[in-house]
Amino acid sequence: MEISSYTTGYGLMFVAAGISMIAAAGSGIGQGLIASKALEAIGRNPEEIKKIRATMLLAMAITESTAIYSLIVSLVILFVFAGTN
Amino acid sequence: METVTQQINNTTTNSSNSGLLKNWSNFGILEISQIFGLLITLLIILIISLAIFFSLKKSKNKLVPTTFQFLCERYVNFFEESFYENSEEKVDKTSPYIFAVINFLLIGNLLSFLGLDSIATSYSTIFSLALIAWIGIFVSGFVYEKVFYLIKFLNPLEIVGKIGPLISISFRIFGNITGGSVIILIFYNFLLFLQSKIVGTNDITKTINVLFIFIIPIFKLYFDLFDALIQSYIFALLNIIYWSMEPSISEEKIAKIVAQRQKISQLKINFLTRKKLKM
Repeated sequence: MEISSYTTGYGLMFVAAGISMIAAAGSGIGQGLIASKALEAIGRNPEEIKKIRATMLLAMAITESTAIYSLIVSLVILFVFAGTN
Repeated sequence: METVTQQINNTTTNSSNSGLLKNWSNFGILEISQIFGLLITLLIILIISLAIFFSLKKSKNKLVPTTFQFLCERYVNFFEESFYENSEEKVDKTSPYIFAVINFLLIGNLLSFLGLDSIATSYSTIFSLALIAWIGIFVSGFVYEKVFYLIKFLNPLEIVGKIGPLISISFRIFGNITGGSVIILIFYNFLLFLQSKIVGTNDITKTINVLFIFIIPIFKLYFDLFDALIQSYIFALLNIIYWSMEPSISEEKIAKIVAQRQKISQLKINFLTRKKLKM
């Protein structure tokens, strides 16, 4: 297909997919905060490192879900709406 | 990953992006490769559980446990510890179901190492598991609070808020695994493009890509292995937490119920031992 055959609306779909990924910034900040607090906790009592690491990974994976939702929105835009046209 | 190779073939033959997008347009619907993946998952679980059963039966009477038995015990102990820490002794009877779910998701998501689609890439599979968890919330509420549980729903905000768990628990694991495989797919295409710029395209470079060997395994380690481990654990953990947090009853009442249960189990043990002694 030539580039001229695409409409402006088709191109705007990809812009929308990009904009929806802005939500990932929030989850990045959250994960950074979790890591910094976990490091503080390890510095305060190093013998609890095993428990802190497990809890940290768990909290990080739950925090990540905000980014995952935005990823799903952008995937649906890319592959379902833009893909069928 | 089978679909990934198909898509690469499509992109190389069509040499346009529309081929790549077309194949993903029906993701979420069960495809043949995903049903095959489910069957393979069940087969692997069956073989592993039979192997564990027969090998543990053999080493039942030994004083010193074998390495295999030790590993099995560690695995079950790890599960039980994290289960009883979070369930607060409210949903003890559901522990076999949770154990089945965690194993099913773990082995199903590790299928991508065998070259099949991991089961979390189909939304139908994950949604059915999430639906069980979501209905279980109300069941556990009814079991502990009886009819008084309905009083909570006079507030319309409560009804709206109850839909949240169904979406969040299912999209978390689906998005994580699917997103990982999509990122690997995009990287595959990028490496293919890079190689075609370096050595040009002919029959050999279409099938063998040297760059894949060095770069893709690192991505697979994170997106397939780590994600599969963490996400299946979190799915099961949130399942337990949703079920045990729902009934809002006082700690004294819980202690009463637990004491009653212990009494019954003690009676059962006494009955069984008496039976044995008589025999």
